[in-house]
Amino acid sequence: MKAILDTASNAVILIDHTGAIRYCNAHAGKIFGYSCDELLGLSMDLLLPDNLQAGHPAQRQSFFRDPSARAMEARRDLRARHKNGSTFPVEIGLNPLQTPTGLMAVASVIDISGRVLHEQKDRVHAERVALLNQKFEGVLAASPYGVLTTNEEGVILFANRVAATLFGYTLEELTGLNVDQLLPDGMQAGHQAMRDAFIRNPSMRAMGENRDLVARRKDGVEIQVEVGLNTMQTEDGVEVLASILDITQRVQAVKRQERLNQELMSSNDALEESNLELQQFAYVASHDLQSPLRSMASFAKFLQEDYYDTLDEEGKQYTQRIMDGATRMKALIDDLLTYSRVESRSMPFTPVDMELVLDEVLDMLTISIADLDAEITRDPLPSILGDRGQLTHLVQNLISNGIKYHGDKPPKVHVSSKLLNGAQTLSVKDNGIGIDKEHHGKIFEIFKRLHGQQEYPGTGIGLAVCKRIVKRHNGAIRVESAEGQGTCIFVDFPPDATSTTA
Amino acid sequence: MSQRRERITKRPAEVLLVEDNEDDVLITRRGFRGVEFSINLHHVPNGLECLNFLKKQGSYVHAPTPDLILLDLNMPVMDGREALAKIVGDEKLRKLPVVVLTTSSSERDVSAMYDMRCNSYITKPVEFSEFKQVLEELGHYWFSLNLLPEEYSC
Repeated sequence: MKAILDTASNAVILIDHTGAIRYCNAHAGKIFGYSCDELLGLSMDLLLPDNLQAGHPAQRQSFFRDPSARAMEARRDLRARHKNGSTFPVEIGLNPLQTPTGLMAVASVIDISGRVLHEQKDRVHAERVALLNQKFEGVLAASPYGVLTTNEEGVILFANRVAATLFGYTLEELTGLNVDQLLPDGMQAGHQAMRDAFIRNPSMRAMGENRDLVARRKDGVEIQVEVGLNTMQTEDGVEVLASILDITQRVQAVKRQERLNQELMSSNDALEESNLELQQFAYVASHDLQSPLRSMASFAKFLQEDYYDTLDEEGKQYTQRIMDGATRMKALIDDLLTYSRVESRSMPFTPVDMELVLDEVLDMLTISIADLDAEITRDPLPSILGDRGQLTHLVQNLISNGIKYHGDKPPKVHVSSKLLNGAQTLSVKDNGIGIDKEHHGKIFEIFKRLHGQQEYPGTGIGLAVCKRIVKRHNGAIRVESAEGQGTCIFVDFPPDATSTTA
Repeated sequence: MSQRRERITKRPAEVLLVEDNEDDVLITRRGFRGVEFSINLHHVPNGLECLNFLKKQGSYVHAPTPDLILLDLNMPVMDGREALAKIVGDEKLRKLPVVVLTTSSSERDVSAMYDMRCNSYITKPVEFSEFKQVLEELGHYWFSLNLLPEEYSC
């Protein structure tokens, strides 16, 4: 019997009603750190943790009064005391045993340190998993994307708030719903098959790559979405994690951009077309419009020459008016041609010495300068990278205007230039009638005239041609003037038009 | 003074005006009025008639060989471009001097006509006095300064 007990893997201790140890097996000595001899006769209270020793005699007495087999305080952590003072968790079974020397208690003690450690590990693990889950759900909840997890049947197990907002449901409504219900009616049936295929062959992927993916909100409104899919292996089987982004606005923005581009392209086409039409017009103007004009002018002249004596004063006046009309129309056509040719007859840019340009222009204007007793003064002028013919035309137009729009005094025109931040500004200033501020915006528009033909004849194209020439040189033209204060026209050339050699 | 020029001043120069616009024909006729050289101005309304005239075909059997052709560009039936192409492509006609006299100042036209070796390209001024001056200078150049072959054998 003793031998059997000695091979037992639990400690067996026999205690009398005083608490003295009357018997112990080999294992008991082992777990408590004593030899068996040491234990015999010892009070078993010593095998209890210090804080329990005082209360133990009372408990023992209660056992001996009412002896029955019991597991000692199985529900709470029971600990025993090792010889070295440390404690360890134990499980204890108590049995009464009638012996020749009286009633004994047989305590069967199992050291459960290992088991407790294991349980502790399990608990820590469980806690960690719970924490991880919490973190995971926290991450999902905080995601800027809508997040859903579903089981293999497509039933939504988890949804974050973004997903709920995105689909127009409450969180409670969304959980338990089948994802198929988040699709437009026509696509629900097909989706089930796709889901099944995904579960069978799961891989992390974007859903509906290269095509427009549409979802349906609770209110029936369809939205454009982008969906990323992944699977998770869980205890309950495969779960699908879907991350959803509402790209309706983005898609709309892209479409808007495309539409704008389209419009821009078509307006470019229109512009090209209108440029082409302008060139077409230039051709028509250079031929078809001039022919009837020549007829008018010529036959009016023949009338005047051949029938001068037979025409009365009124008749002479009428023929003169026909001729004057033709002259004006001729000027209009010529100016329009010039306007259209700023683009169609442009020459490549070369360094142009504006000094020489001004010399040439003054040469051309000799007669009108002399007629009006005009005084032209000049500062040194730079070289400009540009189209020489057009720059000449520009300066000629500006100086003729300066001379033409004079008041009572003889015209004075000053041509000057200024270098600012590497960019040249050319200015032509006169002492003429000036331009009221409210007209400053109009004067560069084609056909805009501020005066009648009687006051100052003109076609209203001159400054429009100037503006077109300046624009072709990537520059800007502006005016500074007030009524009666003279006018100064500035031409700002871009910095890269500044030329050091001519 | 060469003998030849004396001969030419005695014989009126034969000028063929190829022009569809009746107004321009009248204006040109009047422009030549009172110039210091004498000319016979003939008129055909398009390129096809021009070729018939030069080849003395149909009603032009008795037409003279012109000393100068004034060719308009834009005309119905056959325009001046095609007419010039046919003239310079014809062994017999290619020697005839052709002056393009047109309202078109289109770069395209000018270079195309010189490509086909027209002798001169002149745009018609709108102003009559200028036009008359052009005709006088034209006549002076072709009939006074310029030497023409003895006769054109067309």
